[in-house]
Amino acid sequence: MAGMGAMPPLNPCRPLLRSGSAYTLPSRIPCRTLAHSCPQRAQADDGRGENGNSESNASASVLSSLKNFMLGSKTSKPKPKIPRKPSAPPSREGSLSADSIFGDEIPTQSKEPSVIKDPLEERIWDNMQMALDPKPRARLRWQRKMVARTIRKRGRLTRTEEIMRTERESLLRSHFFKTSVKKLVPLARQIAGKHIDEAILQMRFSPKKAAKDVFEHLKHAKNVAIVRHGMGIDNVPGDSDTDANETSIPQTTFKPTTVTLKSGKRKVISNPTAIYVDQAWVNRGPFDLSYNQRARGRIDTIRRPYTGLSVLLKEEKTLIREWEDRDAKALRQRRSQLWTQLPNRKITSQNQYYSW
Amino acid sequence: MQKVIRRTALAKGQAQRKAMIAAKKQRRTDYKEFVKQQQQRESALSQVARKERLNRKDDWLRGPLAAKRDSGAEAGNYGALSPQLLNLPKIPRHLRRKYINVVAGERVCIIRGRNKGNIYEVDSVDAETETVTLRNAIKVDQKVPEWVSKLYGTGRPYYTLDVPIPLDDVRLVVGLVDDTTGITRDVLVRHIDVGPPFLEREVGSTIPKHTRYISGENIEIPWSQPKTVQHKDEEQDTLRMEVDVHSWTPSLLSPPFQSSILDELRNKFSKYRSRHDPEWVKEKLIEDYRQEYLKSRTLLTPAGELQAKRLAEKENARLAKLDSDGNVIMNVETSTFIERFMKQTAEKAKLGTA
Repeated sequence: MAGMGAMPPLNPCRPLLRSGSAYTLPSRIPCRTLAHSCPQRAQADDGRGENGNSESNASASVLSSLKNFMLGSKTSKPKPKIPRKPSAPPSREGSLSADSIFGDEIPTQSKEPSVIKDPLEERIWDNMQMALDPKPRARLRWQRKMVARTIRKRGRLTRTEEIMRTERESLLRSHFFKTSVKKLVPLARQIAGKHIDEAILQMRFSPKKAAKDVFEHLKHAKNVAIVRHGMGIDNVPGDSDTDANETSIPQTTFKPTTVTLKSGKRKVISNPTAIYVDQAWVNRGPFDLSYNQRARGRIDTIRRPYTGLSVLLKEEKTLIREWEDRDAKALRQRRSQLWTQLPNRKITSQNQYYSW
Repeated sequence: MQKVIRRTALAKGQAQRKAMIAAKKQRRTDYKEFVKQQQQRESALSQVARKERLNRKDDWLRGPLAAKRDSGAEAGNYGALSPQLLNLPKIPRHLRRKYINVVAGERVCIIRGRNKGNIYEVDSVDAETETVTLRNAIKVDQKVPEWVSKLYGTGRPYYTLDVPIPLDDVRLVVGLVDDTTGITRDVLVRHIDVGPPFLEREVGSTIPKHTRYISGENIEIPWSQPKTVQHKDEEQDTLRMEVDVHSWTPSLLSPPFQSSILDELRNKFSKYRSRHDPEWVKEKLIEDYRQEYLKSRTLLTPAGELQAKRLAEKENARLAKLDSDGNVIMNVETSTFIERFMKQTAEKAKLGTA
């Protein structure tokens, strides 16, 4: 869906599997098709609440994060929850017009499963090409180049590409807030590394003025991450073919893992798809100019700054992978430095005559 | 009267100069505005292309995890362009081409861009932007605000419309009959010459007045006649024949009418006024004569009169001494003296030489 301008089913790259991780990577990663998208399915499932995974969706809420924060996140043993089934609809008397402010915001639930129809299916492909494929020849040349490159490399991916294909992330840049870099940097540093809900919570109760903007931006970033990038949704169904189960990472099979962060802190990861703020940085914006009337007819200019905030959201499985990488690297280094009595070394400086 | 005429002429000249300068300024402003709009459009288009390029690369790299871009604010109108990209700027009047050689209903071939090589029928021609829209051909979705979609009752956040194609990107397709074989063949005309006859068309006709020819061939390309729709006259309809009857001629456009009406139609005290009431003109002429008389007469005291008389006599006496060429006439005494003197000098010279 996303690469509508691109060639639809062309995905010659197959990610390499790594064994030994706490979760299993999908053996085959399907391409998303036009009529199929994860977030919408997830929403639809959420409405039904009969998959047994409703807790996983609820786990991303503010309340649960508060609870985790207070009680130390003992989610290793997920409580068995009885799925709440809708009872009889509340009886109503009298009537209000559809747009009345006294009416309920939530409309009466229809019994049919809410299948969201993709608005793209109604659209005419040709009429969208001017926006989605403005330079078809350039696009074709580029695709040709990329296919050639893929074939030349025989489908092998670089480490970066592999990570990009297996780990979701969402980068969102805000509009410019009416604040300075000096005031925004502490907030950015405050939220960086935190769980998204935790960061939102902190911004909500922060006494700083700029925190309000950051709060709004974080909420938006979270929504974008969920809807646009399918983050924070643990049971992601793949295509409806045989290996659909392999592409999903059900939360029930995931064992809580304790990772050591780069800072040295330990962290228990119970939900690999929980969203956290990986990086947060500020962007210096334009300046407004105003004037300060001084003595002796002098005027000073005051520069009133604008500053933006960029947040890079990732899923916590990235933390696991990074920890494993670090661990493996450390092990490698330790092994290389292990003392042995007679290590195998290359013989250098062999000479017929002595050279000292 | 001369003063009035001169004043009017000056005012007219001034006004003309002013208008000329203003028009020149306006042309410049129009041109600058046009260029600005064009640049804005170009940069917006390149932004679209840039966004697509980045998205494409990101999608390629992310593969199955590619972002779902038709979400959020773009959920309903993903792939629709903003209206400013589709509204081409109006070309200033002085830069527009003088003759447009395509009319609705004719066929054109697109020679540049996405649909290069395709032949379509022209739906409409816009002289202000120098574009054509093509029938049942190239369409694009345009974003519309919510209130517009509500107004039209479509319920869609986009609107499908024909893409305007610049006249430079199309070429006229003409069916030419080969004289030898008698077969009609479609030809793309690269250059078209414009020439006489320039004909008056019917009221409301979209056909230009000029005649077009294939350059260098002197083959006239006839205009395609627009399809006329036959309407049936009903009883309640007013017939065209009745409407077209010339029953009244407005008489205020030309005399004879009362002169006071003209004052109501045009500003009586305009500085550009060149026609005046005959009574007023007469008055002005009398005033002129009077001024002439007043200039000519002199007012003198008796002493002044005497002095003037003396001066006149003196002048007459002086003039009496002049001949017809204006030279002073020499008196007899002087001339005889000169004669005698010259004789004496001549005699002395003779004696000396002898």
